[in-house]
Amino acid sequence: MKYLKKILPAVLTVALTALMLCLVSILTSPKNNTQDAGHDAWAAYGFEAEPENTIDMFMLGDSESRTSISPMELFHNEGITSYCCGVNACRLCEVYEMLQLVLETQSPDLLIIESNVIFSPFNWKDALESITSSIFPVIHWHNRWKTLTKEDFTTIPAYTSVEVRKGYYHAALYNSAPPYLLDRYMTPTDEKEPLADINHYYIGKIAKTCKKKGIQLIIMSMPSVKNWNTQKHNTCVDLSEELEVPFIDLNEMREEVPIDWSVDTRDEGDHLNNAGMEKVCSWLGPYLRETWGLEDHRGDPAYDESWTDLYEAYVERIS
Amino acid sequence: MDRLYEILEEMQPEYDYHKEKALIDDHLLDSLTVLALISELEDEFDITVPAVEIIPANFNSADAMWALITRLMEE
Amino acid sequence: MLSYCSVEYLLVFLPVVLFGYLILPKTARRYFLLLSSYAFFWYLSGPLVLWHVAACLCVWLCGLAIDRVLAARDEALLSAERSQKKAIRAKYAGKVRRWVFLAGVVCFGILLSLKYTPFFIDNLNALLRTLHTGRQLKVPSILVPVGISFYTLMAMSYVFDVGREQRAPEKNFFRLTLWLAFFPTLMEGPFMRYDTAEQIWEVPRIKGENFQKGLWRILYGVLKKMIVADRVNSAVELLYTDFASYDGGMMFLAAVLFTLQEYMEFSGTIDIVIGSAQCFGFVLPENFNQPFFAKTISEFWTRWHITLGAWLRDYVFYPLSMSAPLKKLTKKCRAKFGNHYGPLVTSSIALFAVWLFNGLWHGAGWSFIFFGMYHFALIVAGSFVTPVVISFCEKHHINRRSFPYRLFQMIRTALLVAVGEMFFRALSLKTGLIMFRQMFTRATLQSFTDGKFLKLGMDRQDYIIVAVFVVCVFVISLLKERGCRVLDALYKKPMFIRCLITAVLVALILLFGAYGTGYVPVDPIYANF
Repeated sequence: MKYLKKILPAVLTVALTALMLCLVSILTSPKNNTQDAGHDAWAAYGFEAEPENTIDMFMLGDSESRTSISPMELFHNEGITSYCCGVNACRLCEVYEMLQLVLETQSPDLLIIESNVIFSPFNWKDALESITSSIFPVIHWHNRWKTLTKEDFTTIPAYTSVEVRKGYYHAALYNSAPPYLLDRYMTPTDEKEPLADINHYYIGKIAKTCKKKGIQLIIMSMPSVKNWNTQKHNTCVDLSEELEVPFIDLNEMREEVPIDWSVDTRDEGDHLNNAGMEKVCSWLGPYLRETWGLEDHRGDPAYDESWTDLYEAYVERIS
Repeated sequence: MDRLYEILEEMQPEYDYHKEKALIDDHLLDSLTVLALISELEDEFDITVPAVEIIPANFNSADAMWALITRLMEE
Repeated sequence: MLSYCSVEYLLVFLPVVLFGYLILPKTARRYFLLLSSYAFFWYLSGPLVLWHVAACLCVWLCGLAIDRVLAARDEALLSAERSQKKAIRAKYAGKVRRWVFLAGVVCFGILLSLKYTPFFIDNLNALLRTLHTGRQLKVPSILVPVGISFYTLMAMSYVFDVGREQRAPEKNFFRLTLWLAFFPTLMEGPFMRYDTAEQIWEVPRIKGENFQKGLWRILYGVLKKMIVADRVNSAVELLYTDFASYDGGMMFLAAVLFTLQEYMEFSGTIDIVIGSAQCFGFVLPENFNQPFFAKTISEFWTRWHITLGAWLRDYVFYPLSMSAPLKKLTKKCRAKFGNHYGPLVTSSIALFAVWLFNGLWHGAGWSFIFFGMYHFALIVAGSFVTPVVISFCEKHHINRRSFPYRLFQMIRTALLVAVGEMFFRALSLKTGLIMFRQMFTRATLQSFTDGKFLKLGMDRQDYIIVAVFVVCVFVISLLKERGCRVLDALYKKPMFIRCLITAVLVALILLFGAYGTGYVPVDPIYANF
């Protein structure tokens, strides 16, 4: 009893603090996954607006992932339902939290991690921040107190805005890659890009989660002359052996995915544009169907609303 | 004691030295005034105030000062 | 640079130490605190921690030596005749002074050579250049242990006190070391007198009340730092580096914003420091006492960085002005200039030393020396005109204790302080002077009407939240000034309310604090001194 009296204030303080943080989190979180509602990565969170258990494959990663693969393209060509949850400049700790969120409503067969994100540096404080902000989103959204509207006080967050591009980030224009980048692109070497302990820990954690949920994890490297090199490739080869997951490097597959760096990139070899994406998808679609047997949902009326009917809008949106 | 009050009033006439009990702590006398006061006291009562005696407790009130003066006079 | 307002300190280091302290038995607690303090030091400064150990050893040994001298003196006094006593005292006092001097040479020697060598060589080089000798010395880059300016002064205060026989010398080396390395005060003070050493060595049990109040104090400090100091950081950075592109109104804003930032940063950090110690049950000396309620500059310095002011007063100002030659001078001057202006001459000499020391202590640079001289000039000038002001007020029937007059004094003092802080922050003395001139030569408020002040990395909402929080701090200060003990009053509330207060404070920090993308927290301003 005496002991209880001693710890009661501590317990009550923790409980009340958690309650307060929940309240301000609800207040500051964007009320929908739209730009108007103040969401900074509305496209990536659009999967929450999809019907439960309808997405067979997810792509996670940074901007490389969301500029190279278009789910609508894959659906139109092969009937594969997928979603791209890439967030610009994100780190593995955020990818992990995103995966947790995905698993709340979807049970995909396949998960592609775009390999560039594996090397993005972060420290334990960043990891702590992404863990805590997944519990108390106010840590991520706190600056929104500046732009709160009446709706923010009266509604509860619900992500209902269906995204026609399914997370893909389009670009019709092109900006050729400079020669000096092309010269050093994928020059052979035995060197390996060092992988920080915390990065290693997190990619292992992601692999473990996938194994537990029966999801096939694939590490895939999207074409980029600016961000990719042989050193990173070598490290990923080691990693794929260690984690027992396939590693596919599109930078090494110039016949299957013949990227022309003068017209297929939007920003001088950093990211692909629509043309580059089409080249990736025309190889990726059949590969996924044949190797991993992803289902063809074309013609299934359950998928009309979210996929078949939106294709025209998608084509218009990306051109 | 009366002479002390006279000296104090001469230096800073605006306070009631019979009542104030925290001349230093309430920032009524600053260190410059305290120094001037000490040199006046040393002359008047023929004493020497060593640096270690210059602490708030000895100068917060006229009573405290008087206690210090009598103590130093006896030494 | 790690600060007390960091995830590492607040969420990892402090909780771990608190937990260890809670579960360990009494004797182990002491050594655990000592170990934690040195671990903290090592984390910040690596092997430079040896300089700290050297300082500890030096003052400890000097203290012991003084102890032996005093014991020998007492023995000699016992058997001596009355007439000889004075001579014996003088003889041994000389010996004590020698030991104090030795400690001073070692401690200040380390401080000067580590911190001031680059400044010294810089100026020597400038001199060589003007003499066209064509020779230049290489400026060495010296690594300085964290908090050296703080612990050196603390160590010396111990030796001075022992030398003056105000304190018995410490026999236990670890007690002295724990006091000098105590981790909350390591980086930014406050300066503690040696009596805190005995208090810390007592290692009291952690009590709910102390812990609660300490936690509140820490949260209040974090609020000050994160809502104001970090939020105005980008604007301050911009105004002080790109000063040439702004007008006089913006220079005024620069002075006010930096003064605010420095106050919130420094007093906020001290809140975290004192709060941390309070969680354990230690009472540290206060370093701030509502400085902006000061009516004069000299009063300001008894309310701002109190423990530094007290150190300088006790170990520089009084000893110097009470020294024999200056006392003689006082007598002469009093005969010549009267009771007010006579002592002022000599105390100005002592004050000059104090402010030179104060300026240099803040950093090796001419702008810091100027900062010291600025306050020196203001204090002397203030004292100089006081009689004139008094007679003027009497003539015109102005009550000097009335509220409007005091308010006028407070605002005047705050403005003078803000101008001083501008020189303090300016990149160099020269830019400080340019900025000061700009205040008058380009005196317009145009930047505030054409919206230029919103392009400093702070938008309208930022200004509003800063203003609102400053008002809150002002109200709390006002309560404290009126004698209300805010923490005690809050602790008297029912338990539920107390827990709610903690929860609200945490939520306010996370909601309105300036952190995350787009914010660069301000480096601890005082930790580099």
